[in-house]
Amino acid sequence: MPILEINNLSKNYGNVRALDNLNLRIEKGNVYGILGPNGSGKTTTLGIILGILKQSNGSYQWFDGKLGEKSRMKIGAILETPNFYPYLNAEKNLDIIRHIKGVSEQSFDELLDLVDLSKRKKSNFNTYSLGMKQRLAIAATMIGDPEVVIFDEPTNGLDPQGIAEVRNILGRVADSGKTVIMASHILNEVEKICSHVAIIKYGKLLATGSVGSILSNDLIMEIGSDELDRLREFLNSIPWIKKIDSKKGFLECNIEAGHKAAEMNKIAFDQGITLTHLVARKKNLEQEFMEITNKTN
Amino acid sequence: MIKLLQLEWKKFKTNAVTSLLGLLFLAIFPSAIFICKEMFKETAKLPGIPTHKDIFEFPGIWNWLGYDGNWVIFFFLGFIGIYIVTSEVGNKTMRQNIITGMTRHEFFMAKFYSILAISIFATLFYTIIAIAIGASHTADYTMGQIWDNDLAVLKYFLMSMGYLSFGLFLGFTIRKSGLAIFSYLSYVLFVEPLARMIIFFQIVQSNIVNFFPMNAIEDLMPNPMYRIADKLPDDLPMTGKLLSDPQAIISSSLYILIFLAISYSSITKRDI
Repeated sequence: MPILEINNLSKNYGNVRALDNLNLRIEKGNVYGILGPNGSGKTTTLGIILGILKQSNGSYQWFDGKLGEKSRMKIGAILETPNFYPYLNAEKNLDIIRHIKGVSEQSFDELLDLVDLSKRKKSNFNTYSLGMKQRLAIAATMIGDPEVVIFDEPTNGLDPQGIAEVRNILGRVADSGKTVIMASHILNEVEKICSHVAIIKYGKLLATGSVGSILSNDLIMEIGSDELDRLREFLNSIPWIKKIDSKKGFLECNIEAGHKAAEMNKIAFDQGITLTHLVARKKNLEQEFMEITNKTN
Repeated sequence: MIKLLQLEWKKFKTNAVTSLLGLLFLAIFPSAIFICKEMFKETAKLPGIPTHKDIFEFPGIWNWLGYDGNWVIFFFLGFIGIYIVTSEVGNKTMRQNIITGMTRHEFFMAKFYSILAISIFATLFYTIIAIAIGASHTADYTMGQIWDNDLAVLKYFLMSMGYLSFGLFLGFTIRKSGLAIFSYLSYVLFVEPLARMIIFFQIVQSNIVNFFPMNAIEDLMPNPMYRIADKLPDDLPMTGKLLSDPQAIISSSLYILIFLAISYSSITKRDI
């Protein structure tokens, strides 16, 4: 049963087409990443399915249409920024969410522990750092044990420690079996957390599927030698090297999955080429993302 | 209804702006009437000028305290009507309320119930203060005399709903705090009075100009001294005449419905 079905969804802002015939189907238990550069229509999509933006065309349906307008009661979501009453503390803000969700009175201690805000639960929201605000927002999405949680750029604007903390929490949420929808422009984040991904650009869907099927496992190898020309000639003859780029002092090669640095070192040595530099790493994800978005443009 | 009112109470009970406006209203409304005590002391014997008896005894107290309320409701409670909407737009909590699960209809109803509750409270407050001041100044009165007030309680309630629904209307349609408050003040104080004068003197000399929305609402509880104008001949070219009670009651009620209807349409149809 699809949790969410989006059919031919479009949204125009004046002459600008922010969303162009988007179709998506999200199944129960998916951890679904919506990936796209800034301005690609991620937030517009989430805004429409959360009832705050009106689509120009198309339709969407939560939970097979069983709950109608009340479907948002079963969804915990943050859009763009954490939005709370600045003059109320964490507990009172969470209590307002609880009140709207129609959940019985409860203590928020456990929830605030989860996002590490227990010590500041009596402080007003406007005294929080951005990271704390973001963590409170994540806590708020958990109230009422919703079936679906939605995060929009959850690590945007955070420092490295904040990013690590938030990703940690998101990982735990994803592991809990809930359906998660997450919009992000950071591939690495989506790859770490999500099971499925949809890539959008200019409001159009470019690719969708499981993370493994969309993002390849190719390696990048940086290979250097004192005789770069000879090295390039040799590398060109190897079938499992897909692409060679010249960099300063070394060549950057796309390597088919399954080949290792040691193998490269050995065959180069057998050819009488001494390597001065050899680094193997996972493909640069941002680069790959650019490739996908440019290729299907 | 109770659930929505509880929600609004949680949102605003500790808010500095609404608390301050509410407290100022509670303090200034009952005390402002006593300015009249000083103001009309020396002139008590002049014809056409009200005496303490006219102002503080039954039934005059209903009119004079009502006119006092006209100003403090316009000023303090009207702002609350604007603020409870624009602050939620500014803090993006209106968005979040909807995302969390409220329907747009519920969000509107929460605000409508809020201004209804404020107006009922303000009217009760007015009634109690009017009776207290009237009873302590009138030497001899009967129960019948206390309530002989030309529907003052109803008119006061409608006046409060009038200002507050105008506030909601500006809040929901304009959404930005500063601009909404500027529009509220400038419309009530300048734009409408000027428009009425221009229409009256340049286009059509008719009492129809007195049916402008804010004038109709003001005429529910007008400055009691303007009642002198009622004694002037009908064909005198002036805009100062007051609407009759039925005229003011019916036209204000219609305006309240229109303000609420436009607010509702704005929240349900637009992007948030």
